[in-house]
Amino acid sequence: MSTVDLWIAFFGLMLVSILTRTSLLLVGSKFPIPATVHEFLRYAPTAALIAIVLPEVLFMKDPVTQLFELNLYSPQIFGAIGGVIGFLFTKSILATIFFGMLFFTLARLVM
Amino acid sequence: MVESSPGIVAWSLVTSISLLSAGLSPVDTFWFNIMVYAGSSQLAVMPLINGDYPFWTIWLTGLIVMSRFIIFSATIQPHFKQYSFLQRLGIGTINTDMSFAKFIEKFPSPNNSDGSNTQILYFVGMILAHWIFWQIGALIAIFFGSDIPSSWGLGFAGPLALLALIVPAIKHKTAVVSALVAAITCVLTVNLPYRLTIVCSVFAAVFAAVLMDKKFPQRQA
Repeated sequence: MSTVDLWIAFFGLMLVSILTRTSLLLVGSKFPIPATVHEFLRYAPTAALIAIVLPEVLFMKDPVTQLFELNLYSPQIFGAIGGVIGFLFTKSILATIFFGMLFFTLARLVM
Repeated sequence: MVESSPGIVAWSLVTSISLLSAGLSPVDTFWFNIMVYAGSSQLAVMPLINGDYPFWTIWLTGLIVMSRFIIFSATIQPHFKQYSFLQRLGIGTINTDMSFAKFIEKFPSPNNSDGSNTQILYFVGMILAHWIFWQIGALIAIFFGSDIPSSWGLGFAGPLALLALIVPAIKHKTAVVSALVAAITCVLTVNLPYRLTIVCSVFAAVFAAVLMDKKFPQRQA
């Protein structure tokens, strides 16, 4: 892609980012969101995070097909277990990252 | 908000290393992060940019990957409805998965009885901090990316930081069921294109929460 084309692509993607992120935040005042709907939307963030994290933990990407394949014996599994243990004992994000990376790295070196 | 910085920097670092190794120049990588600031969308369109695909394919792919933010924007709307159009545009523009999740965890209810600006100040401080950490990660990738062996798996710090947001959010029966449904949906839909697994899991989890509430109406809030 030429530099000009690349920048047209970036510019369009920037608009897409802004439009999706602000969409209902902007027009929502004309269509107020009922309190009951809002109560259930509270479950959206955790679900999104789960769907972002799980593929990184339970799956390995096949280098040829680029498809996710279930892999329940990987450094990532041990890393996630270490992260959860770290969190439950400390309630701290930093400790979660530290213990998760520690378990992940040890498992990677041993496996 | 500073606590999650290692996760954001590490995630941004590996994202930009992927963009650079896909052939994007350092200057283009820098501006790509400043302008678009959406790691999942940037990674998804990179093969299309490399393959000289038409603009509309690239933009549509970005749109589908980003579609979860339409739900997110509806969720934060009641919290910020008293602010002007420009203020809402400003704060929504650099919202992220992590910022959104941390905000809703801290302020589950839009009620702002004392009329203070606590919610918006927290949100603005956090999204700015997260934006800066992301750009720091991108700069580290641009200047030192080739010195960091990929076998270290530094990017795994990103998912770990999110793990620390998921665990505390699963605190009562409805949340447990909703999270399980999200996890099962994610496993079943993981190979859908455009990372549609995220939107599928969000819909399934919210639907599960509605059903749970119908079944056990006196659930604790």
